[in-house]
Amino acid sequence: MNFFTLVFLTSLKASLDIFGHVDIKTRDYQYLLKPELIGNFKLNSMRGYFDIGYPVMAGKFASRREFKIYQAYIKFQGDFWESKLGKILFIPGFPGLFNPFYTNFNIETIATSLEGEQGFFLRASTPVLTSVTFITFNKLPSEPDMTFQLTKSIGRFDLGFYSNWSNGLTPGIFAGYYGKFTSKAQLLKQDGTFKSLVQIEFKLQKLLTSAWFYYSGSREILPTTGSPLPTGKIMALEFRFPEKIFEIPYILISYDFDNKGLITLFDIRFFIKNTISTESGISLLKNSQSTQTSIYAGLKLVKGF
Amino acid sequence: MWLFLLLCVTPPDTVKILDRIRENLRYETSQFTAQIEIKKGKRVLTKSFTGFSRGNDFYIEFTNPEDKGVKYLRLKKDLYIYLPDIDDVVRMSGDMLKQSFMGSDLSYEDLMQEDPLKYYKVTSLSDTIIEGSTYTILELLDTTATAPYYRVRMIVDVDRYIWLKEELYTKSGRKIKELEALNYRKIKGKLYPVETIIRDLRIKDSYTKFILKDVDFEIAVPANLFRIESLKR
Repeated sequence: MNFFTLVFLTSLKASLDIFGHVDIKTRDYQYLLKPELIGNFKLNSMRGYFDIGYPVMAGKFASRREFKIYQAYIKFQGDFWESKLGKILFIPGFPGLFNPFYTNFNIETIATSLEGEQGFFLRASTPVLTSVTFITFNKLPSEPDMTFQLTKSIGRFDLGFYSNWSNGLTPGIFAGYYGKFTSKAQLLKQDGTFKSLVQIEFKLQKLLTSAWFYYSGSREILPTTGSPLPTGKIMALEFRFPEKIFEIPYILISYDFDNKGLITLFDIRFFIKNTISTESGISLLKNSQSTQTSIYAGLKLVKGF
Repeated sequence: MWLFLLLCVTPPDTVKILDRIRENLRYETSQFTAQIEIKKGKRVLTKSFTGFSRGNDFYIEFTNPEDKGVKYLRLKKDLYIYLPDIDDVVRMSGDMLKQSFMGSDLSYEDLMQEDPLKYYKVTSLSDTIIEGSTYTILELLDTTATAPYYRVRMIVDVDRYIWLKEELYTKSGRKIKELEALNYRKIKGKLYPVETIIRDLRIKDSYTKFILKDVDFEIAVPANLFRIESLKR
């Protein structure tokens, strides 16, 4: 296969994100300008995927620019298996906020790009079980991390077992129920302490509501807006508006039990046309020590080829 | 009680009309290339996709550049969505299916109605004249208490057994959606609506146009397509 054949088989998506975030009280600001290119090609049982960008960040105290490979991998697959080699994103358990197995997942904005890890990925499916083995080499190649996950669907339930070997064994389990409402639970034992997350998704009048409760035996930096606060107990309510089409509001209200703080996020995205969308939002953090308000706004231009 | 009496006195012809319309819309397998145009005010979003269906299940792959690679698979009562950026599948069911389908006036639930008229019985029939032609108005009522819309008022062409317009009402009598078939095409001996416009009357100056650019029925569906693993291919 020559270069031109490869180009012909590749679909590309180019985007430019412009995003700004300002803390009202301290006047701390951060701007982001990020050109990004996502490519995907398929040839028989082989697939290639890449997501690269050149984020330029400027803040009140520091600025940074760097070429980023968010994901780049080659995938081979058969009817009941797939393997990937490269920089790979794998989210164990259920993707979403507060996932104890994958703490990099933050509140997603139009400028968010999830970054994978260098390694080897193997998924095998049988009628009984699906297994995933993900070996990463982010540290020394002689000290690989290994994540192993087993899942099984039984009727309206998804059940799973998770484990990670990196300086010892970190085991976890998760289960999901998919009926009129959806309920998900995840439990992880790490360094002798338990981390758990329970989530229920249901319809409340015209709102799609998710209720989350996260508990950890030790304090963790959790995905919240504004300054990250270490906490071990957080409850959150997420509201989405399924009947909205071009203007999509999003509300997240979290209560941090450890810091006795209320964190509220109001966000709205506007889809102007296929290729242009904007986002703006305000986050409010109030606890016994301080009140913090920050606002953000962004523009995304996207063009597919 | 009055509803029971009404159903008892419904002329047998009305049952036949509804059954013939449903028969025209029924197929076991299909292959399609389609486009949805979502308009609100001056803003228009266009999405295109290809796919297959088998019985109640369907497989859809988006082809417009902005959403390319996003795939949907319906298996029984569940919907599985493949997201290329995480190369993984998210499962949805129940209330989660009330979300808008790719930002359109259709919900995932609307999309998953394999025979949307199966819930209804005809309660009345009358004639109307539109642009010099005579059509029939069928009033349909949900008799199962499970239909997404309680009452449907349908304008049909009884010579060809096709619907031209549907008005969808809530139980409180509020008209919330209108569907209009703009174009029909004969496929394997059946007249099928290939261009439909859906207006959600709760949203001002908006519509979703659904265009089947290419469609065929009773075709051989690729083996292994209706499996979750096929989404990742």
